[in-house]
Amino acid sequence: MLKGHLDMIVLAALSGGPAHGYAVIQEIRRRSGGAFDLPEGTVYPALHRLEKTGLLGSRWTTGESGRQRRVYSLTARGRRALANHQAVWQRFVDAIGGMFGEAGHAPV
Amino acid sequence: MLQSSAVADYLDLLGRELSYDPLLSRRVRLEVEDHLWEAAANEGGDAAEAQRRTIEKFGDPREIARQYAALSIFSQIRRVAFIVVLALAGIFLSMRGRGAWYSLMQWGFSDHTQFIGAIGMSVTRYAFLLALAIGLVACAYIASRRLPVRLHQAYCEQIRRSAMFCVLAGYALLASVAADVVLTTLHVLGMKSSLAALIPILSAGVEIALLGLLFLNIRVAIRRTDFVSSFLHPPARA
Repeated sequence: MLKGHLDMIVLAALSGGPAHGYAVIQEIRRRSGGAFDLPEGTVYPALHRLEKTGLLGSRWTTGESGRQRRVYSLTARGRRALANHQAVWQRFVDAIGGMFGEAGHAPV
Repeated sequence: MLQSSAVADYLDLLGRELSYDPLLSRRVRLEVEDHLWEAAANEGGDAAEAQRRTIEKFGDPREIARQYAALSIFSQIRRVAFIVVLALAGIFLSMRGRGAWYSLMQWGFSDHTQFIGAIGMSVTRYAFLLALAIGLVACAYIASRRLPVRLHQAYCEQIRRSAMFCVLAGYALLASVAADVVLTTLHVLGMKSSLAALIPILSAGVEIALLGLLFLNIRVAIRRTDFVSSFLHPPARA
């Protein structure tokens, strides 16, 4: 279900503000109502890849525990990419909705 | 002691799986360590059991390492492209600077070395131009590669092809620098002032260092690509 959409999901999870990897995973779980319960380790390669392609920025901070943590945030390019993803996704949802709607009125 | 070992063992395992990229391995380990401890604390209940569940949710270390593979070889080949440009620019400036120094010091070739000097200068010039042409093709090819979401065979082939272009540029540059080192030696042998001779010797050293850096990084790129290719062919189960 998530295959091919992980980048969009990660970008969306960061739209609320900067967050570290664990918080991104929690946000994905919260926003999807628990539907997107992906293996947590898969989020980190996605975060690194999005950073490498310039859609995310990151910096090291020190957490309350005293451990180092990497905090990610959307770049301007990342915000534009997310807006594009949302527009494409909305068109897809509308088109599928239309298909189901038409199916209800199919001629006998 | 036993309670803390599950996370530590997992981190060691992940580190080993990512050993093909030591820098990436260190960064991932730091990030994942923070994640695992925070997640285990949020799990609640028995600490050892919380760690076990956290690790289970995190996933198979080999699969995670596999997901980093494309990113790692992408970063390395981009680094190589940068070093190709750096080496071309650095060697060009070094050669021009040395030429200007010879003119300033009025150091030319002696009658005995005139012929060798002329051949050496031609080899230096044309080999450098060849390296420049191949290097630019290599950089354009590398810049046009996009980072794939997942590692695949075709991408490994593209990285190997990129590395081969850089090797060819490196060999042409090596021929240019080798001829230039011969010319520098001829000049230095004919010099009276030993202190002034340090300038051409040091600049030749810089050229050799740049070439060494280039070949070292190409080697890393090729070896890393060979290593991560193994992720595409999982070992057959007994």
